[in-house]
Amino acid sequence: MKILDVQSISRSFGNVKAVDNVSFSVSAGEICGFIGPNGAGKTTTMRICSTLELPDSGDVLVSGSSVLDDPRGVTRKIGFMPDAYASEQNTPVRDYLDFHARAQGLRGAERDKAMRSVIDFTGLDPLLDKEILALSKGMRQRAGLAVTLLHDPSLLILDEPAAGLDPRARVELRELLTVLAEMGKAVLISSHILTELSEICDVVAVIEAGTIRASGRVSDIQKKLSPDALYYMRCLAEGEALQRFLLEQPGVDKVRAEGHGCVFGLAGGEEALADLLGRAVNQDLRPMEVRPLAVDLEEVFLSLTDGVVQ
Amino acid sequence: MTLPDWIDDRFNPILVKEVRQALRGRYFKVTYGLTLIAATLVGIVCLMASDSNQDIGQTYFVGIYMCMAAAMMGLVPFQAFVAASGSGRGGRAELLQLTALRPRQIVAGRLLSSLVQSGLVLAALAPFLALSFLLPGVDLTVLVFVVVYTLIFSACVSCVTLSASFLTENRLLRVLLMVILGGFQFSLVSSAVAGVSEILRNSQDLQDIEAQVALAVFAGVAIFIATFAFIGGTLRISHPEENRSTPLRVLMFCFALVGMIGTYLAMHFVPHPEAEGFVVAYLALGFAMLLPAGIFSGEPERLGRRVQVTAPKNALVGLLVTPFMPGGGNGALFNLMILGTFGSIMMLFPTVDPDAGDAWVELFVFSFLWGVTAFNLPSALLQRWSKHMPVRVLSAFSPGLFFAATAMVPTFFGLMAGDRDWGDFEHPFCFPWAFERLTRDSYSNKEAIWAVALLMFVVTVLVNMPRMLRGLKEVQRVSRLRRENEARAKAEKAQEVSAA
Ligand SMILES: Nc1ncnc2c1ncn2[C@@H]1O[C@H](COP(=O)(O)OP(=O)(O)OP(=O)(O)O)[C@@H](O)[C@H]1O
Ligand SMILES: [Mg+2]
Repeated sequence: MKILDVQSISRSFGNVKAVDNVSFSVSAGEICGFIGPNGAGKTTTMRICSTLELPDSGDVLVSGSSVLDDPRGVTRKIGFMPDAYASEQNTPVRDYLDFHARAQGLRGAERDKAMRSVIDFTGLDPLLDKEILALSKGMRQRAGLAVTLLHDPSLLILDEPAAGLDPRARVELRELLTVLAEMGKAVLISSHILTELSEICDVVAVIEAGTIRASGRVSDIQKKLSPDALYYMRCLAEGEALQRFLLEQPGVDKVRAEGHGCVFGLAGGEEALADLLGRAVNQDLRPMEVRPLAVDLEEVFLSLTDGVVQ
Repeated sequence: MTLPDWIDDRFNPILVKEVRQALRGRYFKVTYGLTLIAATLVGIVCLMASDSNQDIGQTYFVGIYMCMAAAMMGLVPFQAFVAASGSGRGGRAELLQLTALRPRQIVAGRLLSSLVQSGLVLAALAPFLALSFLLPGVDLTVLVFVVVYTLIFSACVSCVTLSASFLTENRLLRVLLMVILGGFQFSLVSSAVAGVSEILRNSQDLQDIEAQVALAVFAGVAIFIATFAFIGGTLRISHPEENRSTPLRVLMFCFALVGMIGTYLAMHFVPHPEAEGFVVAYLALGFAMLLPAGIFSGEPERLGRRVQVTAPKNALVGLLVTPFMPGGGNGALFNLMILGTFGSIMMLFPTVDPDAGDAWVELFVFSFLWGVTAFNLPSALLQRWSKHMPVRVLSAFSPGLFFAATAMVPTFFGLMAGDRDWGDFEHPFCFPWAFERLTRDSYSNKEAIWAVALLMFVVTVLVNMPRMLRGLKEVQRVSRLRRENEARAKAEKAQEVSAA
């Protein structure tokens, strides 16, 4: 079920086309990585999805509500966490959450319940009496996440939530998001640090200079980019022989030595791989290890974008 | 659920947060403490300095009032300005847009929080006020009147500072705003103190109808400005595509109506020579109040998508409300309408004052011509660039600038050409001079004055005609579009039903 449906939105600021005919969608239970270099239009797209900015053309549907025609209906269903959280002075975490719960129209026992559940979920219990401004970056991020979860939105839009977090905090954030996805929420999360997305995202949308360069499952994108799958192969025979052998084979390209073995691309799927292995055995190369290489987001990203800065 | 819980739930969330924050913050504690200390010190000094026993209460009260006014009209509203920062992109106000809170609730919550703080200051000063009442020289009615009046003004000033805070996030401009607001508050507090000591000395003056009317008008103007600021602030933090113009236009229109009825009643019930004073005051006030109307005629013309859905579906109703819809052309229409409404009271003058009535009508028509020109001519010329914020600010101030320019520029040329009269601001392009000449029966060259006013008016109408027509057409188009959409939706539904 599509929760977020972005339908060819465009938005310009003066001469800058910040977002140019962008379409993609995120389903329930899915974590979508929104990747692009600085100034690509990630924040603008996310702000349009959260009704904070209006598209010049196109529309965004959140569970069927349009950001243009029913912005209030949309804001009820989303939790948006901006890249920089505005600070509140003289406010302990408890009051901060209490205020946002009130602002979301939660009353009495309902409010207590909502607060209890987000506090338990984000583990803010020991910090409730600390002032927001005194929190560390990771903890403040948690408080921000707690606020966005208060009204139990079905779509979470997080703008660079992992920026500036240490590896440990990043792992914790990832775990939280995975749990949220398992609960059936759709999550859109932006970043230009790719490795932090590669392990949690089911799908990605790569944006550059306002246009979507690719979207879908990471492996699908990879396949579309280069139809060859990448493999690593190691033999008892010396590396050079293996390399020579691979270069002679049909359907093989991008051969390069790595460690004691070789990395190569191969078209034709598993059938072709089995044939190749058979020939390697016949030629007495004595193959010991063959494994498909995991798709590297970094590589996908670099091959998709060409460093245009706007 | 217990009663306190139920009440707690009804509170404006912003109010709860702001009061909590303010009570925890240093600013309020310092304000509170300083006010108490100052009140104690001032009280002691006043008691010692006062030599006559008769009005010792008065001196003491003025001293206490100084502290009270400084806190309630100075420090507390200033706190509202400081606390309301963060309305820009990614700011706190914007994030509140994503909650269930409406912009109106946000501004109201902040305003209420200021009122609560004022109330706390008042409560702290209550013993001092009670003491001043026990001393000889202070009347209870005067005391209550002063406190209530100050509370009203405190709320009004908070409204203004609060909304001013939403105007800009630019550091430099904010500092500038702070200086302007600070100066304004300082002069307000000092004149309030001066006014209170005056009232105390001549407390029987309060029985005077003239003084009462003056005080009521003064409070009325303050409330109007505060309401304007409140709505303006609300619109400022609402979505940019939302209709940000209509509420202010409605407010202006209502004000014009109230002013009109008020003046008419004054003319009927107040003895003849004094009524004229009211009329002149009303005219002056009217022009001053109309100044923000320059904002309307400077707006960009396109009706945003969220505005379009608010256009009436009925074509005739659409025509009637066109002046209230956003957009420069509609703004020009609005100004025509409001100047007409506002001034049409003058048409009633002959019935009230048969001797001078015709002269009033003449003056009204003359002011009307000039008013329309000032409000619509510069903004029409600037319309094309109205997308840009600085141009719109310029547009908003253009009526005032227009009066200044039409007086100055010919004067400058008069000086260059060595023309004594023109060089002395005595030429038909100078509105105050021309207006004053028209009131003189003896002045012979009235034709030139009328010619200039008429010529400018005709040019204004010609220049504005296209955009006013565009505005009318646009509203009609949107209204038709809504009718068609509705018809289509109905047809689709009918089809679905029959298919089922
Ligand atoms: N309010 C605005 N006014 C003018 N230009 C803007 C505005 N918002 C965004 N832009 C421009 O639109 C482009 C896209 O900006 P956006 O913030 O969406 O990029 P981003 O992908 O979020 O970048 P980053 O990784 O740096 O956060 C940029 O060129 C930016 O300068
Ligand atoms: Mg960004």
